[in-house]
Amino acid sequence: MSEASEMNKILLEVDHLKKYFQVGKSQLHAVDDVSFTIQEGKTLGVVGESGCGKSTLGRVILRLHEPTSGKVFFEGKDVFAKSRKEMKVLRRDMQIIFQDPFSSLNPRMTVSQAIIEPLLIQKKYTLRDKEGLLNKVHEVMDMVGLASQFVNTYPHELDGGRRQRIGIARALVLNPKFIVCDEPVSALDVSIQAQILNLMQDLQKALHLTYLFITHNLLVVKHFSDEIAVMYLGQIVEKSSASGLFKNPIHPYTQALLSAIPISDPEIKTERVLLKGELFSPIDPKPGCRFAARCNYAIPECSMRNMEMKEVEPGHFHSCIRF
Amino acid sequence: MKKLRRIFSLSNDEAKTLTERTISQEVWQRYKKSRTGMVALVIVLLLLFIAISTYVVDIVTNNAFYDNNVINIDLINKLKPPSWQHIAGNDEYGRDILLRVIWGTRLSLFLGVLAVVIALIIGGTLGAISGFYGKQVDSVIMRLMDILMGVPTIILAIAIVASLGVSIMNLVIAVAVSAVPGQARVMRAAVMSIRDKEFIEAARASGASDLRLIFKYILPNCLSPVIVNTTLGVAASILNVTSLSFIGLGVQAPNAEWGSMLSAARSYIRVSGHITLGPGLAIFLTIMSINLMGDALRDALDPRLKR
Amino acid sequence: MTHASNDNTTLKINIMNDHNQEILKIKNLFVHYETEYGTVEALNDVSLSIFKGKTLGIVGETGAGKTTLAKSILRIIKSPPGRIVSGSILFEGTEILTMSDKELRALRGSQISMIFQDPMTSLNPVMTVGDQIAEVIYTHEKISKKDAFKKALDMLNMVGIRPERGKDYPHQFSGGMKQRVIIAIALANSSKILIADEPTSALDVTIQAQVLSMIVDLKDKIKTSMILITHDLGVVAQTCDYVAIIYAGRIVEYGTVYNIFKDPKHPYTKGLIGSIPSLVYDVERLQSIKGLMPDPTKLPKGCSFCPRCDMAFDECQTILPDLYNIDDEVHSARCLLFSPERIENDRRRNE
Repeated sequence: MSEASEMNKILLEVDHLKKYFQVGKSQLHAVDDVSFTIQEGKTLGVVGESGCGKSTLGRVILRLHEPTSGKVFFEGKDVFAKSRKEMKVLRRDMQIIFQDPFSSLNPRMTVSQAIIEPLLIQKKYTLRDKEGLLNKVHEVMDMVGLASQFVNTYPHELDGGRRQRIGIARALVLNPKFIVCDEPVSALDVSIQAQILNLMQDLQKALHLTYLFITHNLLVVKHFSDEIAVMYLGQIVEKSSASGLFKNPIHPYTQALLSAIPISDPEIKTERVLLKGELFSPIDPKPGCRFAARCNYAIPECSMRNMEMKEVEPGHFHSCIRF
Repeated sequence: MKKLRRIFSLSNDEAKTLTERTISQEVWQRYKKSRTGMVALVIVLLLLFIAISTYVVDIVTNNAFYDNNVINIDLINKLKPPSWQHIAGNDEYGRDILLRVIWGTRLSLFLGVLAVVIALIIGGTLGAISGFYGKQVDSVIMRLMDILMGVPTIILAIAIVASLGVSIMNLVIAVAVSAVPGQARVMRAAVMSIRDKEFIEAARASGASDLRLIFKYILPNCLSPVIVNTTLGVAASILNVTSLSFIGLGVQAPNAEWGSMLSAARSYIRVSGHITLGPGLAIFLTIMSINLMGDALRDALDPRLKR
Repeated sequence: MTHASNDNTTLKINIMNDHNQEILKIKNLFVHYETEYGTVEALNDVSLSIFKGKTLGIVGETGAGKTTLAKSILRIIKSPPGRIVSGSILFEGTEILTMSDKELRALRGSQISMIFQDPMTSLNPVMTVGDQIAEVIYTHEKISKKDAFKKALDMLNMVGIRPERGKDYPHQFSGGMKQRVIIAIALANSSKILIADEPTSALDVTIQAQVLSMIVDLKDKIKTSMILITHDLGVVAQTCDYVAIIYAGRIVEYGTVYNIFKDPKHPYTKGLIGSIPSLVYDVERLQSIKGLMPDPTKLPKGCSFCPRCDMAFDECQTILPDLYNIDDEVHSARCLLFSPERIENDRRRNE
């Protein structure tokens, strides 16, 4: 039963996507059979701790890494089937914003140079069209809240918040439809985080953008996303609407994750679900639920067969056999 | 001060105008702070000036000055100690040592620089390809470099000169070849450190080709370690040129060159020790200044790298 | 899964008890750095108290001065360019700022310990973890190395690591476990004060929960006081008794954890709390604070927060506010809105 809305067209479909890396003689299962869809104009939050594969997922979708298997459909078209030329054209529609405002900008390019670079690469403009380029630069800087006097400044002369705005400007300049946001505010101070998140929200409304929002910060993902997918060691363990996930987390890992968030209210002392053991790298994983080793509800059957996602309420999926 | 203001900034946020400083200007500001660096720079510039002026003099006097004062034979003055007319004394042929040292500057400097530039072009390209593509390409190129590095410079030079003949060009080739592995390694390391940075991924996400990535993104950001290594490499090259000339494989008589001057002086050291002073001091001064300049340059470039 | 827990009367009694057991007193501390860009005024007129067995949370953003404060207590500020200009830090009545090197060495690692943010680089990679813990023990206690090693293994057990792992090297541990080892080193000598500088910021949230819970348990067991420096308000709310908010080198608000979270007074504190999405309710837009922290070499005249403040008025630009008391003795805010004169004027106006 899907929501009746004018814009429920599916922009991105990810189908049994896998990405394994060769490590010596073993395979690191970074992304292991991930499937989901994102509707136009919506935000899917992907949340998980380090090593869960969320960053790799974002990059494979944009074909910055070649997949091991699986398909990604953008506006119905098979992304991995495209030739290099076709891919270059497709890249105008799919962009990325990075986490680290320090290393995501070329230190030798000024703000304007960084912003026009995608335009030059895509041959939408040439360097001779100075006026056109300058107009575009000012237009985009205005959109992201960067004062025009910074046109010729270098990244190292600016603070983290402004640098991140440059990164956003660069992602927007080609008028994309879809943006992968890889921890875009994690490296920023709290008060700047709020500024940037508000900006991204405004841009989404104004430009009808679709986001894949990758983060480890549960509070931010709750605020920012329409739907959330929780990842653990390369697999999605639970997927639901944002409010649904927080009201009714089902998978034991999701429960542990949510209970681990320190609440900014001294009167509410959460009883944390404390997990045994540590996260480990998904190298040559054994069959069965990957969370079983740390799970307080695990039974022998959990380690025997592979988990499958099942829908427990409309739009709410998870992969635990115990619930 | 302005930099900090921008980083922590701005009470009247949008209203303040910023003065832009390019990266080169900032590096120069930092370089100026090093006293040894500035002195070294002055000396190197002086040496350059001297080298260039020898060419000027030659052209103006149509080699007359050179013929009469640098390579003339004047046995009356043979092995004379320093005097007012010949400040550094006279060598075994009676030639003015100071003038020979001055004329020797251009050979030593230019040959050294030329050798390093050739090494940079060849080694840098190999290192960039190696660093960027990695895996098998990297292994093959680096093993080749290892083989080259395993052969001592002098032996390599002897081999090259023996097969190609004794000439200035072959001397340069010999020194260049031995400098290639060093340049390749530095470039490779620099490329590898930049290659995985996010701004490279960002460019890829916009559709940039490998060629664009290498030339517009990676190489300009590798300049710092490469420049420093090249500067220091010039010093090493000059030393190699003089060493090879010293053993007779480089510049031939009667050309003025510090290494060959020292070589010739060997036989007379006990009798007239002063004839080693001129070329010896020149070598020392040049190498020292270039090294100090390279050190100061590295310090000036470093803080930016940390950001 | 959650339950409320507070009792106002018990709280008031506790506060009074605390004030009788002041273990560290920082008074009017000024710390500056002389750099090529000018004098960085890292800390100006900072006064704080740490009470026995209680935790003080110091909250601030990048560049506010939190780490400088922590390092000043142990006098590990790099000098030059750092300089403790004036002020006093009294530990159990003794002035730290005039201690000799020998006295400082006896203090560090034994009476007052510190743990840093990055567990990856805080441990010596070529020593086993057991040896590293043992080293800090026999440096301060006159016991044999063998006995110290035994005690070290006990510490490992206390932080939840199997004692057999004492012979392993740091690289054999994960981030969370490394941080536990670091905590073991810090508490091996039952320090009276533990200074923790962003101890869990580099860790995943489930590991963070484990480590924090362990720190709180240990602290209660050994009765250590703690200074917890962080930018994470959630962590502060769950683990601290008292909170100091630091902005541009000055304390702008101080109080019990209930004061700060239930009744924040300073506009900056309110802005910080509003910037964080809530777990409980949804908002359309996050409250953000416009602008950036001021340049510490050119702090503005008057209130440092004024340029970014929505509630600023004329005097804010020229008068530097003191820390004014709010309601009771503990809660105070550095804001002219709470100056006695203004409160008096408002009262008169309302009559």
